[in-house]
Amino acid sequence: MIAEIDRCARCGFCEAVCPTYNAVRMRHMGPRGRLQMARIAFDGGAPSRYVVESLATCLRCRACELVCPASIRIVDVIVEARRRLYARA
Amino acid sequence: MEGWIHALRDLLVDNLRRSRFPLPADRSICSRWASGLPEGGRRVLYTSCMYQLAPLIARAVDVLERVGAGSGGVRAKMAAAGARLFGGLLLRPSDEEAGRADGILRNIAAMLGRAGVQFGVLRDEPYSGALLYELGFEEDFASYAREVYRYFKERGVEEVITVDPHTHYVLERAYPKYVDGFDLKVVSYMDLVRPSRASVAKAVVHDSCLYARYLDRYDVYRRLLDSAGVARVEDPYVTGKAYSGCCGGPIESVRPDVAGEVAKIRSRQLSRLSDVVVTVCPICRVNLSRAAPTLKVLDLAEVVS
Repeated sequence: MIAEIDRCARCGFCEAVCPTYNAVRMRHMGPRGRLQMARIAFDGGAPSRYVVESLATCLRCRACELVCPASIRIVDVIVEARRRLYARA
Repeated sequence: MEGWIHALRDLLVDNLRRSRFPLPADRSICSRWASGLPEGGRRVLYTSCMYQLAPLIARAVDVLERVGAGSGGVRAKMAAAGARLFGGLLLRPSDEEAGRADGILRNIAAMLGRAGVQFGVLRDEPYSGALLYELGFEEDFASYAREVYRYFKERGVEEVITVDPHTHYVLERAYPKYVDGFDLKVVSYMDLVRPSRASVAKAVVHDSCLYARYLDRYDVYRRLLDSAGVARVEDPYVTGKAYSGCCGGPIESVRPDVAGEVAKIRSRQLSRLSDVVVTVCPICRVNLSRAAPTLKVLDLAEVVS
């Protein structure tokens, strides 16, 4: 999963189609921000409220994956990070 | 926010354990539509009570917003603590909402009958557990899914016909991962019916994310509308497979304020193409209707017959 996150070039194409990013315009509420929040969740440290908010609000709509030039499995990464985060709590 | 998410998990798990329904409500609302249909059999029409549940989720969200769940901080903590109580007290569908859900399901059953599909219904059918899966409570979902599978097997069910994308997705894609030996055949009613009439002449389709991008059904409901004579208004940046935006429904119970804003943006995009919107998911229909009361948001089974 970390290898998937590392492939993100931060181009931002995903943000243009992300419904939550377009609703609130906060980077942790868009796909590329969520990938970095997922990295924190995988690292196992104490999650900030931004990490929880970021991962819990992904709609899993997959719009980002269809425009990602690197074909990153963004939703799979977020879902797995969220699962680990909830399992720890 | 973490406290609120865990309160939500407790609310869902408690209710599913008690009544196989995720919210505190009268279970009789789930089977009213099925009067006169045969009980059980090898092939069943499985609604998972989604059409009756969708307006209840909308009610719950109204309550969540009033008690401050979306705003975080102390008010969210208080809302979390009181979740079980307010759910039990307030979640009732209106007669209009329940009647509309019943009408949609009766039309689906009638279309299946006309297409020569034989099926039964299960009047005490359990909820599929889709909400647990989608919110990320995987372990709870896994044990609940095994229970639902056992329920079907004990009644001799071999094939289920689904009516909504959430139930279809978890049965087809998630259950096989968590239930050993899962062998139910899962089909959507959309793959079986042959509608020839329509109640509207022109409409824009709001896609379900699951049907369009997970279950490869993007063209299926479009073909049904075409065969019934509905003129579809399309714009690749609004209704294209990659750009058809989500309604916000999946995070309604987590951040109703963000979900509401997502629904408003989506309904504005759709309204530029047509004032009639066809949905294929009960959650999308309820969510978009709340965000844009002037838009006529209909379910596919209210449009074709």
